[in-house]
Order: sequence, then C-alpha cells, then structure tokens
Amino acid sequence: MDTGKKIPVILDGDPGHDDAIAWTVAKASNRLDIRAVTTVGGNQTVEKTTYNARRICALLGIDAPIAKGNAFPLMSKPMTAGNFHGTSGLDGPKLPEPDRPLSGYTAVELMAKVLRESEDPVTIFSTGAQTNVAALLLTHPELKEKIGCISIMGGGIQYGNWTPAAEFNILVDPEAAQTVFQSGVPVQMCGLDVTEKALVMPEDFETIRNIGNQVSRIVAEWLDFFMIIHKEMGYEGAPLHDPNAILSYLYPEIYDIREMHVEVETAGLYTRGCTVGNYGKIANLGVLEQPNVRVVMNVNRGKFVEKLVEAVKKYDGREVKI
Amino acid sequence: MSGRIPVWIDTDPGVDDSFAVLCALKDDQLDVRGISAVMGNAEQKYTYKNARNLAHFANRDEVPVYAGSEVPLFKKLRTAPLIHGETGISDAVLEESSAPHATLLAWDALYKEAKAQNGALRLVTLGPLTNIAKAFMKYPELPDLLEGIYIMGGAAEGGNITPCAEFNVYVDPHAAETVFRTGKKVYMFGLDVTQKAYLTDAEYHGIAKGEGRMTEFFRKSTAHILRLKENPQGFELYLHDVCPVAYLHEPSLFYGEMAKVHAETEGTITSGKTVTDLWSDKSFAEEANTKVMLEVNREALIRYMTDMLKKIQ
Repeated sequence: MDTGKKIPVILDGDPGHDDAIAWTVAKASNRLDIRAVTTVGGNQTVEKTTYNARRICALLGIDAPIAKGNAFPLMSKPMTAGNFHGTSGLDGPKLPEPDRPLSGYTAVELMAKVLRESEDPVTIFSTGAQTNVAALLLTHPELKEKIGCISIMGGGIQYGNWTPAAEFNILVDPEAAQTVFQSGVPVQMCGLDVTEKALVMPEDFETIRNIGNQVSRIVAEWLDFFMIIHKEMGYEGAPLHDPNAILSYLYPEIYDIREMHVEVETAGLYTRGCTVGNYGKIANLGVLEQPNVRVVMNVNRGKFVEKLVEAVKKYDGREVKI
Repeated sequence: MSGRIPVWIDTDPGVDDSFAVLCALKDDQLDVRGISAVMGNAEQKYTYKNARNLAHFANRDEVPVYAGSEVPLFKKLRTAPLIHGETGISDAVLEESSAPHATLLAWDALYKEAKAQNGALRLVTLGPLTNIAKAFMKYPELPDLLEGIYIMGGAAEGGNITPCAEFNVYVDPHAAETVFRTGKKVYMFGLDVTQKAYLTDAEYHGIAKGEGRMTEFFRKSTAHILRLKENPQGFELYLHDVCPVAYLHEPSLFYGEMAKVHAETEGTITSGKTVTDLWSDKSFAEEANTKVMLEVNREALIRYMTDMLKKIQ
C-alpha cells in the first residue's frame, strides 16, 4: 500500500558491511524518509564507524545530518569485532570521501531533535549496539510516543554468536538492549534466528554485481569481503544480518514474526547478553509475561535476495566520484 | 553380549522418574547396582521413600537404595508439586518396602560401587545433580571411574521452569556446573530430546486402560499431569527420564552432537540455563565433553517403556 506519505526514519548503526547494505536498502525505498544517521561503536571504534557512515552516505546520496554516537556502552567497557569487518570496519572497495561535515549534535541530541520536529511517528533502525537508542529513551521519556517502532538487528532466541549465549550487538551493550526491550515502545527484533537464515550465496553476489551500477559493484565487493571470513567459519553464504531490520519492517509478509516476551541477561558468567525469549511452554505454569517484542524467526530466503536486488537496482544512473 | 550393563541411578521420583526406574529394574540387559535419592520433584523424604518402594514394587528389594541430599548446594529448594504432587507420585500410593535401610550415604555408596565396577559403571541421573556434585567434591577421581554420565536435565534451547532453564538444572545449577565442568563422558538428555518423547492421548489411554497394579500406578501417578493437560497453555506428558535408561538399552534410538556445556549459576534471568556451543560461531575454550541429545525414535522409546512395564504384574 503506497499512500504517498513517507515514514520518517533514523538510521543508527556501526557500519560494518551489513549495516552499509542495510542503509543501501533503506535509502532505496520510496517509503522511507531518512531524517538522521547516528553512529555507535561496535564493529569498530566509533571514530571508524562514523567515518564509514559518512562515506556510505556520500556513496548512496543520503543527505540527512550525521551525528557521532557514544564511544562507551552504558555500563560495559567498549569492545569491537576486531578484524571481522577489516581494520577500517568496512574493508573492501574504495569509497567516496565524506561530502559534508558532521552534525554538531550528539547522536542522542540529533535523534531527539528529529523526533520533536516530526509530525508523524519516527521509526528507528538500530543495527549496532543499542547504546544511543537507550540513552535517548532514558533521557527523553517525553519523546517515546513519537517513536513508531524500533527495529533492531540483535540477539538470538535460540543461540548466540560472539559467545555461545550472546549475539554481538547485544553483548556490546546488554543494559542498553534491556532498556530498549523494556521501554514500552514497539520493538521488532531480527536476531540470529532469522539473520543466519538470510544467507546471500556467492551466485547472488554475481546477480548483484551484474546489475552494473556503481552501488551494485560496491555492494558485491562488500559481500565478497564479508564472505571470506564466513566461508572460513563454514557458512555457505554471507549471513546478511542488518538488512533484515529494514526488510522485515518493509516486507513483513516474507518473514515469520512471532510476538513474545524478551528480556536481556545483564549478569551471568556465561549468559551476559543472552536474549531470553519465552517462546515455549512453561511446564510449571509459571507466569507468562505479556509479549513486548515482535521477534522475527524466519525468512523466505529467495524473496529476501529479490528485495535486495530490487533495492540495488534503484541506484541505476547514480555515479559519484571516488 | 557377555554381561549385563552395570548401572547406578540417582533420582528424585517423581512420575516419569518412577517409570524410568521401573524400566531399568525390569530390563534384563541392565544390572542396577544401586539407587540414590535426591530432593527435586519432591522433598527428599518422599523421593527416598518412593525409590525404596519402587524397588519393592518391581520385586527388586535386593537393590540397595541410598538416601542423598535434602537441599541443593547453595540455592533454596524448589519442588514441582503441580506436576508430581506433594509426595512425588501424584495420587499413587506404593506398598511400603520392608528392606533394611542402607547405612552409606548416596555419594559414598556411588563411589564405592564405581570403584568396584572398575570403570564400567554407567551413572544415570534423573534429578538435580546435587548428590553427584558432592561425590565429585569428595572423590575427585570419580569422573575417571565412570563409563559415562547419562543426565536427564538441561536444554540447549528453551526451558520448562523458566523460559531458558530446565527444572533439574534450575534446582541446583551449581551442582550441574560441577558435573558439566569435571565430567568426562557426559550425555545430556535435555528438553531438546525429552520433549520429543511425549505420549499422545491415544498412547496414554492405551497404557492406562485395564487392570493390574502397574496400570493402576500409571493412572494414579499421572493424575496431576492429566489435570495440567486441561490447561489452555498446553501441556504434554513427557517421558523425560525414560530417555537415558532407554539409551543404555539401545543407543541407536537417539541422535546427539558433541558440545561443551556450562550451567549458568549467576544470571538474574538465566540461572540454571545450560549454555551449549552447539550452534554459535564461538565455542567454549574447553574441550567438548558432552553429547547433547537432539533426536529420539519416539515410537521405539514408547515400545521399550511399555514392554518393560508390562513385566510388572
């Protein structure tokens, strides 16, 4: 359904190859109006992810203000994904240099400004640690009602990746994630349950490369880079985590989404950062808490790749100097 | 096969525990060397009594039954009266055993038998692992003396007492962690497999119909569970504890994968969760010492149980 009115959105992430592809999808949608881009440390230091964010915006033509986020998680020590995304956090193809200055606002201030000034509820896509979003919720309770949805990539009901129990984005800042889940704002969660099923296969890389525009060539090269480490780990394709946060919001019909109660373990010797979802039967008839999260559990992989290809095609004719 | 398989059963009967214990006692391939009781589904005074009476019920009064822990190592005791009733066997009443009471405690008796069996003893645990943790603390060489530890407990995915913890591990996570940490060859029959070992209504009624003391025990001991099945939240009669016993009888009924497992002892919402590195990109540093059971041939398992229970007339 296209009412012609676009949904105002904020892109919050730690790019990162899959964040970059998520933003490629977001910018390509004629249903989304990107009002701000905010960064957070995670895949690399916040300095590096911010530089990457600015280069991605220059490539894609995202002209919204970009604000640098917190270098520190709410309670944890900062951590990065090391060389997972290369030393730059976005290794691989050469990218254009930033084409505009950073916003003078902090990430939280910029988010708050966008929310205040928007007539319509704003959707926040958070594809890194939830530090900025949590800080926003904690410091601006009055703006909660201006948030339509927080759609995150993070967690895993069934298992983790960075530890056996925890997924990376949540592990970076478990307290922030718990703040988001408990906020009362509608939250949609794409965890490993779905994102490791959203595999983009090497033959799909070629489909994307053959689209032939500048963005398609770069996305294919990002995928090439992202595939190397995943191949070493035994994956058949690249699990494209972050774009699911955007695509499950735009096209819920190609996903299996279940409402459940989700909380984050913030203590634990082995479980810190574990997203505990109540999706089974509690045999002792313990209290079933009200669902607070729309958890995305599965995706039609073929359709996922189709939507990705469709998005990249939107960049036909765009060519920036690199 | 030359001899029978020497088995030790540590248990907290318990409804499905009772079925498992009876299966083991009536299985000609298994040589139950001893049974030790632990608190869990019910208080230890009941589980000890039930274990004794089960041996008597199976006409196996000669099998020694030992008393064990009354409380978890560090946590406050939680029992499961909704499922097993206050006494552990719901509405059933068993004839009192007149066998003499054993003088050894569970952990000492287990160690003694493990030594006597010289590496051949299979340890089956159907309740919280408190007795076993104590045995490991007192006798550090015990893990090496066991052929394997066959645990009903835990879950790689999900839970039954909390969203992420299974009852036996939840009751005493410190004990479970002790066993997962120091156990040598551990087989974990968690909810991943035991919730696939359910009984359909038709199968239930097939077993429950007719006369005889076994059928009556089956009917009466499942009274609480039947009432729970009425609950709209849904509930199944799971044969959790029968799984490890059936495995000893016929390993090919099951499929599992190796992993390292830890029991969480410190989490605020994850206490008692068994964390496995089955599916995560990152593995635990320690060597995988646990076979996490994931699949069962359900029909064959039920056939095994009904065949064994039929022997009790």
